Amino acid sequence: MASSTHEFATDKIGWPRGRWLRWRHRVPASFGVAAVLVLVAIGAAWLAPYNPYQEHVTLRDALQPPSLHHWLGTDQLGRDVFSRILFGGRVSLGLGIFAVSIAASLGSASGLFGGYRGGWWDHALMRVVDALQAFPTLILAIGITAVIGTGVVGVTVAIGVVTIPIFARLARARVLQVRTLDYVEAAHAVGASGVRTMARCILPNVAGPLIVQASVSLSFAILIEAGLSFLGLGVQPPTPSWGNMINEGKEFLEQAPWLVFAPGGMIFVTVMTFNFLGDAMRDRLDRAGPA
Amino acid sequence: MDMASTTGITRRSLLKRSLMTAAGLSVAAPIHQPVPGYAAGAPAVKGGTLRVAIDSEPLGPDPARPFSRVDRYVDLTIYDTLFTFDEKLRIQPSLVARWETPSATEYLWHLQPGVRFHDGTPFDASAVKFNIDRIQDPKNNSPSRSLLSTVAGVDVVNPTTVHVKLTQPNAGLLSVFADIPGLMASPAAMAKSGSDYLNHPIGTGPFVFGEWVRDEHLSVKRSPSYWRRDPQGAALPYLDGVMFRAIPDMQAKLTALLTRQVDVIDSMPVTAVATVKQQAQYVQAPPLGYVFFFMKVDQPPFNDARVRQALCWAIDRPAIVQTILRGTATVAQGPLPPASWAYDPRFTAYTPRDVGKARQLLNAAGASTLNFSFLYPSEEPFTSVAQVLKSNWAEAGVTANLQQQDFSTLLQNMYAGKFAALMIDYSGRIDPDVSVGSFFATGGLNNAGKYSNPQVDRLLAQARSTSVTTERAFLYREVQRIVMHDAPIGLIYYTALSNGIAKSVRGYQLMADGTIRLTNVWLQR
Amino acid sequence: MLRYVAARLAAMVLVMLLVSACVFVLMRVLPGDPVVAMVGMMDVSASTLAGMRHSLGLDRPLPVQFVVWLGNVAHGNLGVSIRSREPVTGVLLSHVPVTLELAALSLAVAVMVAIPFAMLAVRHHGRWLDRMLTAGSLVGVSFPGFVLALGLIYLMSLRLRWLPPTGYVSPVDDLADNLKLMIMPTLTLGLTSAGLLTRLLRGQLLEEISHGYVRTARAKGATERAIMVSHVLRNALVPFTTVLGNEAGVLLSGAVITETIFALPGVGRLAVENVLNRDLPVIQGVVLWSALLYLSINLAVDLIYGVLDPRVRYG
Repeated sequence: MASSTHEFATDKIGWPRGRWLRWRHRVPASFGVAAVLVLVAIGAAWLAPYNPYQEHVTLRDALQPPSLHHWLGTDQLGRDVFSRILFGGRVSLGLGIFAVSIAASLGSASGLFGGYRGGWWDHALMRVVDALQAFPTLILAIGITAVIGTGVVGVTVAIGVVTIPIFARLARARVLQVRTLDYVEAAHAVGASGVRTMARCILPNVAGPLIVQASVSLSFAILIEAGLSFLGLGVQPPTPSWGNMINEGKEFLEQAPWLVFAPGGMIFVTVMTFNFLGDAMRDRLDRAGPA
Repeated sequence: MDMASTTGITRRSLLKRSLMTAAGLSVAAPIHQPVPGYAAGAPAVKGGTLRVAIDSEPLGPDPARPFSRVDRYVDLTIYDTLFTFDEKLRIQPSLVARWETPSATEYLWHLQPGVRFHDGTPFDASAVKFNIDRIQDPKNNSPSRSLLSTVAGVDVVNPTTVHVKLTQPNAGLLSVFADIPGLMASPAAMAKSGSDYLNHPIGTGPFVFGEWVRDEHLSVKRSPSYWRRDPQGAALPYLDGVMFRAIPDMQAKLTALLTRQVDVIDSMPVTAVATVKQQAQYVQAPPLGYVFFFMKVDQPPFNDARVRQALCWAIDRPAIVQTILRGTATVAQGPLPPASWAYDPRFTAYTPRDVGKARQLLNAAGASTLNFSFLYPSEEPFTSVAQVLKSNWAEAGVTANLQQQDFSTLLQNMYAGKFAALMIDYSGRIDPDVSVGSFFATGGLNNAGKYSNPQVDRLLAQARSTSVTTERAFLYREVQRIVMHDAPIGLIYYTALSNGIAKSVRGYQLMADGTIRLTNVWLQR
Repeated sequence: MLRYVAARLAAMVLVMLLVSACVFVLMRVLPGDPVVAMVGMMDVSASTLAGMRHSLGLDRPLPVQFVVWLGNVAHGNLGVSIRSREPVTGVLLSHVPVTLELAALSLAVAVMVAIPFAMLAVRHHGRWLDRMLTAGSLVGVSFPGFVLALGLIYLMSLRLRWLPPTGYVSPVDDLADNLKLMIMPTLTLGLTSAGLLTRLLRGQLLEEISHGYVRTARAKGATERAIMVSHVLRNALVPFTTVLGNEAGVLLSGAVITETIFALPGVGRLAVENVLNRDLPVIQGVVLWSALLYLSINLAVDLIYGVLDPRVRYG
């Protein structure tokens, strides 16, 4: 996996405008799809037709192709793949959302601070960000999960850490842009405190791009989770995540391709949705113009 | 000659007479001995390069260095071992043509005369001494040193005779010299290449080292002057060379075989066996190793034998073997695997599965709400097996907290004894002195669960000091019976290594210890 | 300008030091060590293990190990792999060309797809071709690489038998074989990058077109083609270069999963295997290489920026 999705912030999309889908409805539309994904993940326990952990370790029940009983077939332990996809979504999405929240808050806080304070602080913070970014992404993630453990927590922290730099850079760049604007200078002049200025004047201006980035980073997080799982270093089975479902299924690619392609398809759809949402929000921001 | 018959031991052993050929007897060998197990068939065709796909990069062809499973593949092309073994795991002559046992703590090894290393230097008694001393020298930190701890010293009697003195009788010792520690490297080459020896290894084997481009390939070429001949007296080996290549991804490796990119793959997904049988050839070694879990016997909750027994009763081994392994493995009943001469086909333990009994034992031990963490490697088939174990145990009211770890972490926890229960696989050894002894003797090398039973220790010591195979088999079966009752480890299934080979490959032998013998292999055009 | 470069270089050294220290600390807290990773489950006594650790200097305090290592690096010596006993410099030199080739080919594919696609999309802005291309590039970006890799192997090797699934042959030995083996890995990586670059370039081109100078040029009677190539594309290439540089950095530090699936002996696979084996000198080597690369590419991109866009000044 080329983890190339992490420089999205610099990328301006400008989706084609046309009648085939009402473009001004793109944000609500993609937001709607994303919301459905999230709701399905939350409601997995009610929606899943089977217990995702219930094994039927017999040759008759294992590796069944998709059927009316098992919409997406069964895996090597006779578990219902559809139910596991629903529960896996909860893990993959939840983990992604958590990781991105960590990264967004830590990253943008340090970016805001560095950009606002400037000088020595800024330098030090940016060197740390450089160092984090200079690490090969997956290697850093592997190192972190190896230290913390390959549970949900370890994977979340790992993804969070590797996602920090982009938020830090983005926030800092925005701050540098905004800091020189008249009203910020004015706030300074009337003696507003640093924290107050940051919270009142700068943060609202930076928030837009950060939210966009969060959406894009969420898809990145899901891909990284899948990558870690592919190497056997992701979420622990039997807890399903889309990534470890692919990892477990790849040995059965020939006999039971649905084990790889069903969760693979879900990853694809989810990543695309959040990328699309990011694009749409960015376009809207761009049209609104810089504050 | 059959020494077992002269000892007058009678027992209920069902071992065939053929199994009774004792290790440790003088066997007269012809100068041009055929490779054991050689099966005559269609006349062999010379030429061609065999392309072998292996799991990972070898650690390097040096007998004193650490090695992994794939190193045995490579090493046995470049080197010969002092001894070898046949398909029943009985010790056979190799570079040691015949041997005598003047006393229980002495060996006289008579070497195959006229053998030369690939660099032209003679293979003689001083070379044997050099190689064994090298492993034993603490400065070299050879991981094999522990296995040679009963060797007191090696003396050169004359150029073709070696005198080996032991600290105590050790019937399993010769088997160690049929494995990596018995590989004979050229002392002259070691002196010449120094730290660069891994790029210029020199042995007496059927192939001469070619080149090793790390992470790309390791190639060997036919030795023009190999000392063995085939039964017709023609030169061996038949192949022009062998090319080893690491392909880590199982699916990619399988595809490489099916698309004729390689001729041999050293493992395959269990679901691919049918495909391999149909489009290539499937070979399986007799089962020698096993997948099992250690329990920490010296700590609660597993210091109570009833708790350990309960875990064993609760697991559904036939389901694991049938479904996860698709019948490529067999249920493990005891630590003596089917490939071993000590195997007892009638022995069973914890069969059939009995969840009720497991509950009873747990209640009796006051552990009805048992909860423990279960470590295992983060790869198939362990991940699938662990999940089945977890739900098996759940039926008996036991909670296993699964924790998968990458191999180095898991091994360190194992060596440091930092676990409650830990699943891993053992590739098995050709002599039970190593494979059973190291697991169940007090302080044994592989006794990670700290099991200790004086009766077992006594039996193991006894088995080590007698050289009569039938008697040893009897003693090991006794050990098997006791340890399966005590259950310091939970056995799950016997592993049999399997290879996929192209249809054109002939004369291929996969041995129980996972080695392949390429001396007799030829390619049909 | 020179002062600027000097300051950047100094910062680079600082970051590399920081990165190496991080690796050391990370490996310290990481359970497992290279010795157990080497011997595996192999009838070894604790004293033998301890002896092996001692002979490798692994029992020395970590700060001491770090300082010794730094001293060696200062003399151009990256140390010796614990596992293979090969000099790390040699190990890197044998793996870097593979990654270099893969990255170059993938980027070439990405750029060759991205530029014409983006220009086509802009030319047909708002029409169905534009939508197809834009949606296609989003698909490219969102497709998990390893699913694509497994899918390619399944189709091209297993079903159609057109391409060999795995392995590596040096282009010096056999160029045709080398290229045949590189097709699938290149596609796997290239298509993801192509999606990213197409999206970016299209957006940039649209933005440039909306600028006044395009209208002026049109008014002056310049052909559309001339305007696109000499003005619009040139200006849009500035941010494009930034992302391209980043892509290059990511690809050159090794595409772990692609290299694993296709059994390519590149830097990514080297890194992962040695993390799993805890071979610290090799990990350090790989991370240093990646960091150096990443930072130099960043510097180079910033400098190129100046050439492409004279408005940029170095402060």
